[in-house]
Amino acid sequence: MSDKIRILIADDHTIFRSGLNLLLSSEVDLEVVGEAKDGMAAVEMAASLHPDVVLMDVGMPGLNGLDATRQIRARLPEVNILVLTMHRSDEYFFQMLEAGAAGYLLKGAETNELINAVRAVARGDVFLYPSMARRLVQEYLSQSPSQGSAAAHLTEREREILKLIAEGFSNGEIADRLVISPSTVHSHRANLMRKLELGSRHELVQYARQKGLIGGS
Amino acid sequence: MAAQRVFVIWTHPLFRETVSLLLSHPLVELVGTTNDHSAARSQIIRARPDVVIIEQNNDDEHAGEETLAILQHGPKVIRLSLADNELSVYLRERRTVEKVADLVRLITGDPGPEQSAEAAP
Repeated sequence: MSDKIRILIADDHTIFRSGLNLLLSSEVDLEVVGEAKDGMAAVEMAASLHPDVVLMDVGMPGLNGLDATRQIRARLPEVNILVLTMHRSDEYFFQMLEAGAAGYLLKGAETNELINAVRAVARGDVFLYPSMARRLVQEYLSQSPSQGSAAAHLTEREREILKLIAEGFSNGEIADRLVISPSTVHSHRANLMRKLELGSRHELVQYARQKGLIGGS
Repeated sequence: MAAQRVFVIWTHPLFRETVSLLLSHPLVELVGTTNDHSAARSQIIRARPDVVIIEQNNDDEHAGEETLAILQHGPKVIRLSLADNELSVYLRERRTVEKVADLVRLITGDPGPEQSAEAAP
């Protein structure tokens, strides 16, 4: 059994993906075991190849990097996700971390930063691009610790319902959309408010806006 | 056929390096790279490349225009975007990258088995 770090590259850009493969494979302790050109392929290949690290782009056709990260982490919690993206926005950054990414690197990074990031997340550490790490600290300092940690423990369904609430849908409309009963929606809403320590629908909407759950994907 | 001399101008070091690695081909000779558009002009004059690969910056569409201006009557200019999968030969044609070989074909002028170039709009 090889003791190299096994990497799956998920990026829709053919040239970049192929070049990364060559770049990473030239390191003696790294091995690229697969290339996925979209999020769905990344989820499927992660399940079959069991890589140590998935190098994940955010903007991909079909299933995007955010949803692919959520699915991989749900099925394969031992797989470490390192985001490699052009997106500098807080919205993507925080969503990817909440989805379970262990690292976030911009495509403007130097080669040695990428290689160090892969090694770091493979051994279970977190690696953040320096300017993004600063934003994380600022965000942490600007909110109550209990709310920040609670947000990371929302279920997929609760996130979905929070997003729909923030988009202005009533409990009945959400129930119709998700094909569940209004009382189930009410129950999820109550859980959301309890976990996030919020007291009203209005506060839920404000929270969703702050977290970037509405107003773009 | 003589090897095509290629120069790469790209501000992102990671992408510049990946493109350079992919150009390891008998018919391609990498003669220089830079991340600095203003320095590129003098370097290109010295290196005399047949092909210049330059980034298509979707955030700043005017980036590199001065460099492009001096290249119009010289080497072939291939613009490549990090945001999408398209290659374009400046002011002439545009094509989607299906595989790495498409980039090499565009550099060497080999139309390949599946010619897919379209006229630029």
